[in-house]
Amino acid sequence: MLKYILRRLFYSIFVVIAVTILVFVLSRLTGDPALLYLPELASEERVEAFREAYGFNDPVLVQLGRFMSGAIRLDFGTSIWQKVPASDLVLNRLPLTLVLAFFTMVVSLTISLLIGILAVLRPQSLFDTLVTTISLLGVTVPSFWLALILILVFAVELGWLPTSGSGTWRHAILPLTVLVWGPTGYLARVVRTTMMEQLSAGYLVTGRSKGLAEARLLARHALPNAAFPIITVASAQFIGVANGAVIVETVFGWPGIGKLTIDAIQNRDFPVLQATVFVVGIVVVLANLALDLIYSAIDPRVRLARD
Amino acid sequence: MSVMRRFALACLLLSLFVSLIPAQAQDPSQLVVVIGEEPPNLDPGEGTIIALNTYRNTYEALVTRDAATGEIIPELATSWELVNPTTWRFTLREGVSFHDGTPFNAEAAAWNINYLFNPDNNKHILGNVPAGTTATAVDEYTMDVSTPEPFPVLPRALFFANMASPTAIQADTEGAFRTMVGTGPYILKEWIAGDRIVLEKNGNYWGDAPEIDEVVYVWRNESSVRSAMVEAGEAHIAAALDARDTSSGNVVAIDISETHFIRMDLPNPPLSDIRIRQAICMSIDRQSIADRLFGGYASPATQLIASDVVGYNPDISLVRFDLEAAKALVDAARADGVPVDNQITVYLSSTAGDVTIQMMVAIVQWTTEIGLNLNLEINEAARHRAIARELPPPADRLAIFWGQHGNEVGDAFGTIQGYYMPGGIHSTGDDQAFFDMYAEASQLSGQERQDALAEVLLYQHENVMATCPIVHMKFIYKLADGLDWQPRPDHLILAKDVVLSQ
Repeated sequence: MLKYILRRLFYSIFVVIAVTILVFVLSRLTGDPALLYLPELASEERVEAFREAYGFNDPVLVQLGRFMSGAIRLDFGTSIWQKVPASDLVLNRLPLTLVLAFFTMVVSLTISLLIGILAVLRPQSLFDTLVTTISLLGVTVPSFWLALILILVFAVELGWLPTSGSGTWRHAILPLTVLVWGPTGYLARVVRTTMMEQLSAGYLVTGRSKGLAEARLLARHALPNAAFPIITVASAQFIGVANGAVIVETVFGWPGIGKLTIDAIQNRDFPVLQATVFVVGIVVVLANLALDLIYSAIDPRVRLARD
Repeated sequence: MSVMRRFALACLLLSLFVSLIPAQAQDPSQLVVVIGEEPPNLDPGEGTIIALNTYRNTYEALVTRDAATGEIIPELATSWELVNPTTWRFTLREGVSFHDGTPFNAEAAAWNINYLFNPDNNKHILGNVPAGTTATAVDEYTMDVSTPEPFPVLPRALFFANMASPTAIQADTEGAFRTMVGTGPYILKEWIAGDRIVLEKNGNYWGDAPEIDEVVYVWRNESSVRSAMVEAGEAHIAAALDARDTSSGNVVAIDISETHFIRMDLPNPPLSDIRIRQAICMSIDRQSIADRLFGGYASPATQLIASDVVGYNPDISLVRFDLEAAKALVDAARADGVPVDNQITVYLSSTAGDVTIQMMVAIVQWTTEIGLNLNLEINEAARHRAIARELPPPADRLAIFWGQHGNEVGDAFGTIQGYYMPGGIHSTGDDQAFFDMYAEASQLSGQERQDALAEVLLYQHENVMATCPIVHMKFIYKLADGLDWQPRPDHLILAKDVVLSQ
């Protein structure tokens, strides 16, 4: 197993490097930040001086070489706008996003498993219809709209929660609610569908005919077999949120990596963009590795295939 | 108990639990201001609205502006005079020190001027004064500022020159600008990046001691959230609101020096024909744009600068919205052989905002109705600026550019040089009489300067019409109940001017 993990990590290094270089080249092809950074009426001389000072007049390959020599030492340069090391900015913001992503998935998985399984146990019931409706709303309701409605209701009208910001657990409730909403709707649908397939599978019919309790059948047999698609979807959702819940971070003033990334893209703050891509790339690699390990823990066949 | 009942009970208990949490209480000695963006750094050389909003309780400048009239008045300088055509002498306030104890004197002030306007430091405000502007200390509290050419509006331009402690700036060897050591009534207490900036009262302030002990700046991108923060009692002042967030609460607005306009490439037909440019300007219903699109928080514009800027000409009349007359001008040009059917591209930045996009769509529609052939092209901000700065324009380019212009310095020289004069970043004109007129006006000062620059702008309006002003903007704030404060045309939110009731 250790050998497998090390091999995966080794290959992942190349993936992260390739993505980082790709983003480097693509971002340079779109121009440089001089015109965004300087005032509207800045003279051409000032624009040129800015480009010269930041090395944007050098050929892309020269810039790439300079970038790579720094990146090897995890030095992505200094943010053009914020004037501090880009890696510091990213590493300071990442935990806040990861916290949101982690709790989003914990809450989302818990709720979706609960309501998905209960819906399967009572097909065509009022509860099943309710779950289907919630799933549909979860997938379709725009998070921007939901965020503003929640702020108006729970912060402005009821005064129960802060409108926005960070620093205490109370600040996290509304952002989490918005973030949980989408994945829960999606996951509940997946849970319901996959569990429905499992409940009609032959091995469960055999189990029932042998007199096994329904709860045991569900927990020990149906759920592990249904787990693959659920975990796959959940991990994709986690990676999505970990990459930066841009809308939620923007609306709620949550200082995570999503807002930082969008600002870096809009302002062409290349050092921050590079650092973000690198760090998020590592998060994605680790998440995928964790996913593989979970697969093999659930299903011995995966483990055997690897060995 | 059924599953549904358990679920309902759990929800009820959760609601009760959350309802027991008290809302964030407001500290009467603390002022919370919510603005749109976090300042990227605390560099005294920044001149953006975000920087102005945040810095000016801590940094001060030699001059400031009268909140009501916009006139330049003393701050760290007590007086100034022109000692020769290229030298201004400033007498500085005595008994002032920076927050780190460094004395504020002529040496410190001159160091700041030389630091802020050194091209090698490439500060945001560098272009506010002529290249080569330098300062020298004459004695302890007298400083001379020299410009390579006469620059009558230097005191006005120095409004943006924040005086920072030379000791603190020199100690910041990384150039990170995470601290802010000025002479103002508030000292930087902490900056929690991404979350807040906290200022505390300066016990040694040279002026009247401020009433409020602590000022907290937070930032939210969404206007609706900023508005909600005031309504929820989390903030006292929400700045830069959209018109759609003004339906409730204590809303105040003020005219600012920000103007939406379009500017036209002049070299190629049909835009080279002034009748076409006049027709385009006549086909813009400015009043409807101000009322309907900007919710009344804008006013029709007659020129690129606002009424508090030196050179504003009140005699320039609003171009009337008259599609029939505009169509007649286009038809007359067509009859004279002007290729009015040539396609003209209207360039717009994607960061302009949805209201501006609606405005430009309306303008394209109106100009189509008068027989011109316009199409809208939206580009991301840097691309938009790059295309707009392609001067002289490519031989076959027929372009109109949307723009939003703010003359923060308060004198028309920057506007005229940038948009109408040769070498201007957005200028394609070739009217020598106009150039001569401005060259003469730019050397004047006082009322003579006002009158001459106003004449220059009138000439531009009547004989050149390279730009069509659309609307002047208002800056909208929402205030907490019991807060006594008047907004300023220069955007500053000075905590020392705010009175909070208990």
